[in-house]
Amino acid sequence: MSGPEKFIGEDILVARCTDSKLLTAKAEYFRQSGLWEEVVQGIADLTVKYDPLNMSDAEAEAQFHHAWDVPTFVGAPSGEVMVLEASFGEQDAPDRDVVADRIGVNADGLAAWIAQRGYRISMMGFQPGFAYLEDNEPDQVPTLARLDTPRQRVAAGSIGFLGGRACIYALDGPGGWPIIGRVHEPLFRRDHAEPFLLKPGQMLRFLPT
Amino acid sequence: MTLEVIEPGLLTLVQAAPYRGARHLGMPLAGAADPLAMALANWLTGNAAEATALETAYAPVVLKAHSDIAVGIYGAAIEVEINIAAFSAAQTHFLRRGDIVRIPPPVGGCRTYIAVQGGISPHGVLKATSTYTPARLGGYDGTIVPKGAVLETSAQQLAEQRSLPAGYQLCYGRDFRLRIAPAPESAWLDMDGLLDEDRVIGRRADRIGLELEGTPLKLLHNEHIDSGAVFPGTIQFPPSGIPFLLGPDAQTTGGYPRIAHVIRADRHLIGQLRPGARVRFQRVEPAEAQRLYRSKIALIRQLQPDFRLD
Repeated sequence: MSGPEKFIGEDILVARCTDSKLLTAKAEYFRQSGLWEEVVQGIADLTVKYDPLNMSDAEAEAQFHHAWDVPTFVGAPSGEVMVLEASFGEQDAPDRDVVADRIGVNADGLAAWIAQRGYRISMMGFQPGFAYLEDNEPDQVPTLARLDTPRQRVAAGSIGFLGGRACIYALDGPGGWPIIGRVHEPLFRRDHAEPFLLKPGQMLRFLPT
Repeated sequence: MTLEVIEPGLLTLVQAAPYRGARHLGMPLAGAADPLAMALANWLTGNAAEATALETAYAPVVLKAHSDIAVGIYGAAIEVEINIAAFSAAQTHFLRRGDIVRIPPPVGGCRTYIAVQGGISPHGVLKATSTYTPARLGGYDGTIVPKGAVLETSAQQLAEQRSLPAGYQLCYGRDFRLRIAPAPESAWLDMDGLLDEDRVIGRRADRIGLELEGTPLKLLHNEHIDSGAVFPGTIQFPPSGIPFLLGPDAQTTGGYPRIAHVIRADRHLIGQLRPGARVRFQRVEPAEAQRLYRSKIALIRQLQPDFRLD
C-alpha cells in the first residue's frame, strides 16, 4: 500500500483504500499518534489534517507514509456488537411498505428481518453523530434508491435504508433515504461529557421494541 | 457583571474556540467565523485569543451595560457608538452602568466581535461555549442570541486601556483576495476559469458555506466520487457549475469534486464575506501557503500568544 496520493491545500493529505475495515484500523492508528489535527475516514479514503507549525510538508508526508505502511491488524473493531433498541412501527417508518416489498417480507415482518442483520459503521459525517452503516453481507440484500424528493424533516434517530447500506440520522433535519424505523437512544447528546454514542468501526444490531 | 442585548441584529452568536479533532464523528469545526478578528477584540480587553465572545453579522447591534465593564469590539466595524458619541473600534471601551453601545452595520466585511473582559459565561445547561445552531449546541442555548438576552461575565476588575498597534488594524472592504492551493480534483477543472474573473458571493451565504457566483465553470473530466472529508476552505464543484466555498459550520464529508482549497492563512477571511462581496482567487504553491500561514501566526502571536488558525 502506498500513499498519500493527494494534497488538499497545504495542510491536508489523502490516501485511497477501498477496504473499509482496514481504513477504520488505520484511522485509529493515526489518531493515537497524536500528530494529526483531524483524521477522517471516507468511504474509500483516509484524510488527515496537520498544523504546518508542527511539521513541514515533507515531514508530514514522511510521517504519513510511515503510519500508512505499518502493518495493521484488522480485528473485530471495537469488540462488542452494540444493540440499539428501535421502533419499526408505522409511525416511525414512513417507507416501511416500499422497503418490505423490495426485501420480500410483509410490512410487519420487516422488524424481524432487520433484527437478523448485522451492521458496521463504515463512516460518520453529514451531521454530528450521523452514522453510515454497511450490512455485514451486503450482497444478500436488494438495493433501493434514495427518495425522488428528499423529506424536509426526518426525525432524529431515524434509520435510513438503501439495502446493503443504511444510516442513522443523528439530528432532526432534511434527508433523502427511505426510513424504516427509529432508534430510541440519542446519537448526539449535547449535554453529555461524551456527546457521541457511536464511532466509526462500531458493530451494530437493531432490537425491535 | 452583565451586558444586555437590546437589539440582537440578524445573526448574533456566542463563539469561542472551535470544536477541534471530532470531524471523524461528524462534528463540524464551528467557532468564530473570523478567529483573527475575535482574537484582536479579545486582546483589547486583556482576554485570551479564544475567550468566549459575541459574533455579530450584517445588521446593527445595540447592547446595554448593567455594570461597569471593559469591552473590545473589533472586526468589520471601524467605529462604535457609545451613548451616541462615535469612537474608533481599535481601542478598549470602558462602559459605565447604563451605557448604551451601538455597533453600526458594516460598510465592508461582515462580522464584528464583541469581547468582554473576563469572557462571556456559557448560558444554560450546555458546557460547550461555541454555538453550532444545527445541533443546538453551545453558546446561548445553542441558538442565535435573542433580544433581551442578558450575558454574564466573570471579570473582577477593569482592564487596562489598549489600542491596537498600526500593524494589527483590520480594514475589510467588499473586495477580497483569497489564495488557494490544489485540492484532490483540481486537475478536473480548467483552473483559469476560476482565476480569471471575480466571483461574487451569492445570496446563499451563511456559516455553512457561500455560493461563488459568476460564469458557470465546466469540468474537463468528471466521474463518481466516494464521499470523503471536506473542511472549511474547501471549494466544492456541484452540478450547477457554481462553485461553493465551505465555511466554519460546514459538514465533515461530501461527494462533490473538490476543485481548490483556500489556504490556512486566508481561511479566517471567509467569515468576512457577505452577499455581493467580490472575491478574486489567486493560486499559490503549498510551500508558499505554509510560509504565509507561519508568518501570520508569528505576527499575531506577538500580541496574542495563544492565537490559532485552523
